[in-house]
Amino acid sequence: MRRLLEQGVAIFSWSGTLLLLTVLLVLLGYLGYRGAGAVDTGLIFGTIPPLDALLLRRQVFDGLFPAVAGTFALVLLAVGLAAPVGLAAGIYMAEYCRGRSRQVLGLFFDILAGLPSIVVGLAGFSLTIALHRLLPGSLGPCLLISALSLGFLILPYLIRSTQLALESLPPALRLSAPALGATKLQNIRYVLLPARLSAILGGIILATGRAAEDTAVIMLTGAVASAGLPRSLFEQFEALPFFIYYISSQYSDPDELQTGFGAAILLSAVCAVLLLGAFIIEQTLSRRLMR
Amino acid sequence: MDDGAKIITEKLCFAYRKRAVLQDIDLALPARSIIAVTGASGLGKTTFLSIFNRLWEENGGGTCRGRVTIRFADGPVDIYGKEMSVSLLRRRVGMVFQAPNPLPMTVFKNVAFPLLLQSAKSRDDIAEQVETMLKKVHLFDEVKDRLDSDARILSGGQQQRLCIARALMSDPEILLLDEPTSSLDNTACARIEELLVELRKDRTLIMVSHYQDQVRRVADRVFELADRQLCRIW
Repeated sequence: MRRLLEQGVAIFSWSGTLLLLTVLLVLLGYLGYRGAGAVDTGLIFGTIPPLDALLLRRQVFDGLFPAVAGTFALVLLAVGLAAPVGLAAGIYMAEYCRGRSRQVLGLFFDILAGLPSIVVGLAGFSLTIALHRLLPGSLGPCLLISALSLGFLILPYLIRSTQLALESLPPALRLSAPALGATKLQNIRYVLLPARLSAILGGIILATGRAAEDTAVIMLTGAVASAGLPRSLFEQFEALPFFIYYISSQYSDPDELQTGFGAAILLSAVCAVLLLGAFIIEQTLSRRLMR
Repeated sequence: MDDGAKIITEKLCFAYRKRAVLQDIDLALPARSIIAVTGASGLGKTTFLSIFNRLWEENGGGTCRGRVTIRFADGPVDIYGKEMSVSLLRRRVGMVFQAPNPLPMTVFKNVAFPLLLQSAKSRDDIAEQVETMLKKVHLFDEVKDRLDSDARILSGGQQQRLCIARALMSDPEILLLDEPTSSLDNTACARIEELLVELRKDRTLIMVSHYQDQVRRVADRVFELADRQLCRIW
């Protein structure tokens, strides 16, 4: 009976994994089927030669280049703003926070993680209005407010992943540096963080993916359909998730919808590039710390 | 107070979350000897060791009372006194754990780690000391071509000797060993035992061990921990 139960659990687990893999492949396949025809240099650069667009010699008005650049800028800025705070708070939770405050803060971060992104977007929008009233004419919905709101959205993931990564270290390793005379800070800097670097960067990678796909936050805080390349932190911008949302809800003919699927493929490619970048950073850091 | 003793405990009590682990222990442990502590699992042998480098403080939940005096080369010190720096104490009282615990860095950096923390020496001096220490634990010939490799790829026995070399790097006068051979095979175990006997010549070793044969082979004095008391067996 026990053996039968074990086999049942194994088959259930295997089926779950297979189902997930199948859904992912079907999704990607469908995306490719509907959008591959639209993906060419024209989709990104319109009628402008790619080199001229990349070197910023000419502006792209009828392609997705501004949205691709806007997505990169937005995600890098959001992760750049949130990662130091998330890492610091995660380290605090794992290494310094004890007793009741640990329980209260843990609960707070869990609630924060479950907050719908539209609520965070609304908070960002309210902040924009408040700033606009405070500094009339100089600050409105913009890249910085969007990045701050997105950063706030991914913060709990960063905190919890860093905390769990550090807490999962074996006690013997945790004590090895203090037993040699290392201070708490030296232990964190030289042993605990390097030992869990890949898990911590894994959390950042997941947060990057979360930031890249979110639409609700940016549509309320700074993303618009047509803004050109982002030229400063205080201007509105274009982003692929917003373009996909916009085109799929407003399309007037099948060709426009195909452009939306093409944009979805581009967004997946942008995510892949960001994840690859994070992987390269992890490998480089690991090698540097090992030396 | 015993005049020839290296470590003296007076009315030493330790409790973990209100549960008494050690009760009124008075001991005088001799210098340049191997002192073995045996006893059933879960009675507090590791806790007893961690009292001498105050490592129990890292986990929290414990309360230590009484007095522990260590006669270092430059004079006796109450290790729970207000002036005592914990970092300094742990450099003078080294510790080797039950399972080898190499740090996530190269073989070289693992051994050099205690010196890197102090950053008081030049790289050439550090390299020379690393080589000396690896030779002392009979590991240099085995790893001399792998000094820049991740220490975690070494075998269990090699890792444990690496950890002993690392613990010796700050030249501790006392070495605490928490079942240092329990995760090793017979050959690796024999090499560690030979090393411990060598180390006894110029330092005091306190070792927790479950193996009666091992205790008989290497220890000069044996205590058994039972019912919150340490009883001298021989």
